[in-house]
Amino acid sequence: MATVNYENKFYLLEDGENVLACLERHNIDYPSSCKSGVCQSCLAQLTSGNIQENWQTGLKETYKAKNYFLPCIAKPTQDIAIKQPGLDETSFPAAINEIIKLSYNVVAVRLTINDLASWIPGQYLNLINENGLIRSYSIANLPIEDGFIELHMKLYPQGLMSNWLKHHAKLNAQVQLRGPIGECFYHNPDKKSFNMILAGTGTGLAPLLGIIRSALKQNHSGNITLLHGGCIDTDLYYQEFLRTLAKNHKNFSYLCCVLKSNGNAIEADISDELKKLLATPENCKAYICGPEVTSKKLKTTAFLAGIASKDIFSDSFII
Amino acid sequence: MSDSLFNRLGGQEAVDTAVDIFYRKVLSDDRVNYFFDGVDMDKQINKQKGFLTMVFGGPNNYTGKDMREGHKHLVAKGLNDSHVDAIIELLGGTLAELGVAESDIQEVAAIANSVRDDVLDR
Ligand SMILES: Cc1cc2nc3c(=O)[nH]c(=O)nc-3n(C[C@H](O)[C@H](O)[C@H](O)COP(=O)(O)OP(=O)(O)OC[C@H]3O[C@@H](n4cnc5c(N)ncnc54)[C@H](O)[C@@H]3O)c2cc1C
Ligand code: FES
Repeated sequence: MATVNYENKFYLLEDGENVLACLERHNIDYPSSCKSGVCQSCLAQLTSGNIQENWQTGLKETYKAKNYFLPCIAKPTQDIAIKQPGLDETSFPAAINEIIKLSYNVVAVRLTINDLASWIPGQYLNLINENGLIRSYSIANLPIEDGFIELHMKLYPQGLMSNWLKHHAKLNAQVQLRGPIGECFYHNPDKKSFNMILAGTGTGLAPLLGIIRSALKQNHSGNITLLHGGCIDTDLYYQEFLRTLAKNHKNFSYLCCVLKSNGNAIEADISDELKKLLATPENCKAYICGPEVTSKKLKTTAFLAGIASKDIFSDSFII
Repeated sequence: MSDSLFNRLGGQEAVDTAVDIFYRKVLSDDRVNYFFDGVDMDKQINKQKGFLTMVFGGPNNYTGKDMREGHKHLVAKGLNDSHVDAIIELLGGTLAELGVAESDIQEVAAIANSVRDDVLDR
């Protein structure tokens, strides 16, 4: 049986158990969130033992070189020793500059940070609060242009980061940012022309907005269509901004739908709407973001409509 | 090596082309698509690439044990010979669509067939 050595104590792994689950079974409070190898909240450094490639899925090369890995997907068969990477090794200090209410359960958090250039719109970052709590949020704006990083945070009842933000976060509070992470962003160095379809529900809008603004800023040639969905009318936010953006850019259109409307939005299932939009998906790339269940469904819809799997970019918000 | 089945079919590039056609067929076929309800597409596409590389006779690290472990939850949901038959049929359809010779399709089907007992855990 393999053991995990963490902070000078040894923990016995059960057969097939991952490192994070083992620590939690022993009541160790180790940072984590998605528990599926996506969010990178649980980042750890291997200090002895053998690393396996699949423990480092999605990590950037500099992290891999330092033997960083994700305990929630690591299932060692031999003894290992691990430590939590120091904040100064991985993250950058930022300050909360502004908190703006966007809807009944979504706020925009604006952060100032020294180096704005590294934070690519559409990618996500790890927000680390003063208690060491770590959660992922997507970059919703053009940081260099705006002078700050904007995140859209859905406030969950009883959510740990949600509650911290609602009750404890103060203006100018210091936080740490790690990242950015992910493949879902606008990348078109050869200035190719293609159509973009972006679909998502709730705060899935955040990365999509970042991508749209990036594409427009780089004078994207091809149509850009955003489809934002929600459960009820008030789940739709940023509408005025999006309508103005559509007015000012001929190649951008903004569509929205909700499952149950009181008359202010089209009532429809977002998958059905996406299917309609993709009736003839020529020269088209799809960007899909948001809560896990809907984004899985939307990805499959886009794929079955004929978009190549390599042309579907997505981030699932796994909670 | 140049005349191996994998190379004859077009190597990694052929796998990448075939995977979308194949997986689209799988997801559209009511005989088998319910096994894929709620699965993540990116992860599945990667798995299917591994599967196609194997049945094309390409370099892969599939073992009988992986096959068994990887499908146990589906066997519990009722995966049986008829589903394996359907998958092999869809695989054949994919290759035919790509203009692969009938003799090569037969060879791919034979490799797929050789893991049947592992997949069905018997
Ligand atoms: C790649 C990625 C990108 C993301 N981007 C965004 C974004 O841009 N915007 C955004 O709003 N979110 C985003 N998320 C989600 C975000 O990271 C957090 O998961 C989310 O904000 C919830 O955090 P929390 O600490 O408030 O809630 P948590 O404390 O993590 O809890 C979440 C919910 O689950 C419930 N819960 C917790 N534990 C249990 C339990 N044991 N049993 C039952 N229920 C439980 C809580 O009551 C709460 O309602 C992203 C996630 C990922 C993986
Ligand atoms: S908790 Fe390990 S990557 Fe999210």
